[in-house]
Amino acid sequence: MDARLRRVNKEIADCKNDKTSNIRIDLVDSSPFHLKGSFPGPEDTPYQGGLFEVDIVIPESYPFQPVKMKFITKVYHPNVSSASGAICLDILKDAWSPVLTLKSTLISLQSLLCSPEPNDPQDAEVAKHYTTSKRSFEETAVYWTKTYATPKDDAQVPSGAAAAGGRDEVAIAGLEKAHVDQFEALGFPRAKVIDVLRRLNYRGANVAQINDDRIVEELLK
Amino acid sequence: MNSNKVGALLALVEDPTDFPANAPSLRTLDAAVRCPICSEYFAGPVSLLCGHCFCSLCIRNAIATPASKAQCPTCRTHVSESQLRPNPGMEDVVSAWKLARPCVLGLASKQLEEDVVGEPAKKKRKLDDDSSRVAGPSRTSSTESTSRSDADVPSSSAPAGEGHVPKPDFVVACPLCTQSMKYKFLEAHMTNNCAPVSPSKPSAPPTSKSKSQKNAWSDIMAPKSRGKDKDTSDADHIPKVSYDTLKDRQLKDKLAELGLPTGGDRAAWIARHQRWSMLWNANLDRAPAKRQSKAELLKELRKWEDERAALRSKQKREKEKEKPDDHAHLKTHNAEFKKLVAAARPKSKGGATNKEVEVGIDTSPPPSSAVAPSLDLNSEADVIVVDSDDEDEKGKADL
Repeated sequence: MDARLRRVNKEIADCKNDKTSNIRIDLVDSSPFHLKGSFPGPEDTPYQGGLFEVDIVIPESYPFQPVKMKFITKVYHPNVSSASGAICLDILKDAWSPVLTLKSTLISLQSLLCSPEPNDPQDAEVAKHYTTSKRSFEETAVYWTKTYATPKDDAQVPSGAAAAGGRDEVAIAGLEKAHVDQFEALGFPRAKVIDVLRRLNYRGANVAQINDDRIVEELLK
Repeated sequence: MNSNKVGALLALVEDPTDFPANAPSLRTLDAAVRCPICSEYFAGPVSLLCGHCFCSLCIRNAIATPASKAQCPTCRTHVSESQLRPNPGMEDVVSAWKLARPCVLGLASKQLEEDVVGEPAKKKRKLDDDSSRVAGPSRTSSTESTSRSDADVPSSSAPAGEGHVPKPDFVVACPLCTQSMKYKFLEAHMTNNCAPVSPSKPSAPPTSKSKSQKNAWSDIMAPKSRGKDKDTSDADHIPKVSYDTLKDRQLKDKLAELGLPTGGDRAAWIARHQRWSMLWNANLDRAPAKRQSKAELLKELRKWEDERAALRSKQKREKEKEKPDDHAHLKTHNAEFKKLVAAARPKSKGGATNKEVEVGIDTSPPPSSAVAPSLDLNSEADVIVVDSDDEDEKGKADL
């Protein structure tokens, strides 16, 4: 049994025996080097009440190289890609240290949810939303948490994905329904309106600054 | 099913959680004598200048990883391999704890069943004993190392201040092999590939002089540390080698000198020499009684090389697997690609119909027209078929 396997086994045991941190690590397939971590969303944040799952891949030269982690659960956060779940966090890249463990890294992810870093974003659109209107951002994040991260959904991924189709796309994009309806009434397809408004960051104080003509121009492109 | 597998894995693990949850102090104690990198008991523990302790092999491995930026894994202060100091105190603690562990474990689990009132006091006292022993030697050794580095002030501070050039008579450490010598001899020493200068071996006059100078210097300044660092005079640390300055021949000689196999290519030699230096030096950081024999180290080296080779071939196989996948993907979706290309064409060409487009693909392949004439007529038909595939790929990329 090589050193990497021994260490990973210990880390899994450590998480299993630690009831206070609420962090879980499960095997995905038969390999101990592909794992699934999960932790509850931190209290007093838009992520409260959600359960967030993380895909963990342990590289060959672990612990001298950082673990690869990305969110399986969709998260609305400036440092997490809303499409792929990729995470922008220094300790997963150049600030990795071999004394960090799976548990401590997952705890770091948890605290990343508490303290977004919009200046070093992974998802530029979400970061823009965060900086223009924090309140509107938080509403959207809460909606995403409810929609994607509530524990009842994670029982079966396919059913969750199917249910997502019926969800309110306007709320997922963090937009006002009235705005979308306004442009949809002009005869543009709803999906396109949502896409353009999201890209232009048509939220909060920005609404006053963006001319209707500009939006129509974008819609006609 | 998964939980069963987890259970099977966990059964193999010996770690701090073997102790009952109601004795967290014992868990802490068990964790305190483990290396934070490999989470095993310290094997040949060494301390850094910042005082943090790791297995010799682990920290050497960590420093050798380029991404680590030569930082202490715990506190991120700058470290270098030359600053590693064996920590025999910690080594004693580890061996004592290994002996005591089954006994303490037995007591702790027995205590679970018995009355919980009487025992804890006794356990606590034992723990205090142990933890004071943990703290004691490591503290002294860290002060030792600082005082030792105080003694070496010229040698350690000179390379640190990279901005100014030290005086010729300043004693500095060679940045490659960390041998200390007067600054004026450094250049000659480095151009000589850091050749270990010994009095018996005739070498360039400046270097041999530097050796005697160095001996005199260390005799005056740090006679004790010398004795402590190298417990046995027959075994010496392998100095760092700058592989880029060595010719293939020299590299091979170096391996042969150490009694290592010389198979493989240059990259393999370098990797082998690096790994061997790491294993060898880490082994020397252990107490003489606990050291492995050279044969065992050689076996370990071979195992490491085998694992590396296995990993390489596995990666290669995976890469090869991906390629035909691409092709299969292309084949299965060929019809769709054709449709998409057909659908995309009219937009760019204006009013072209689908039929025209299809003809266009077959007859006017822009890049192939240059290739086709150079081949003989018989194969031209084939070329055109390939071209239509190319078009499809192009269409895929565009879309």
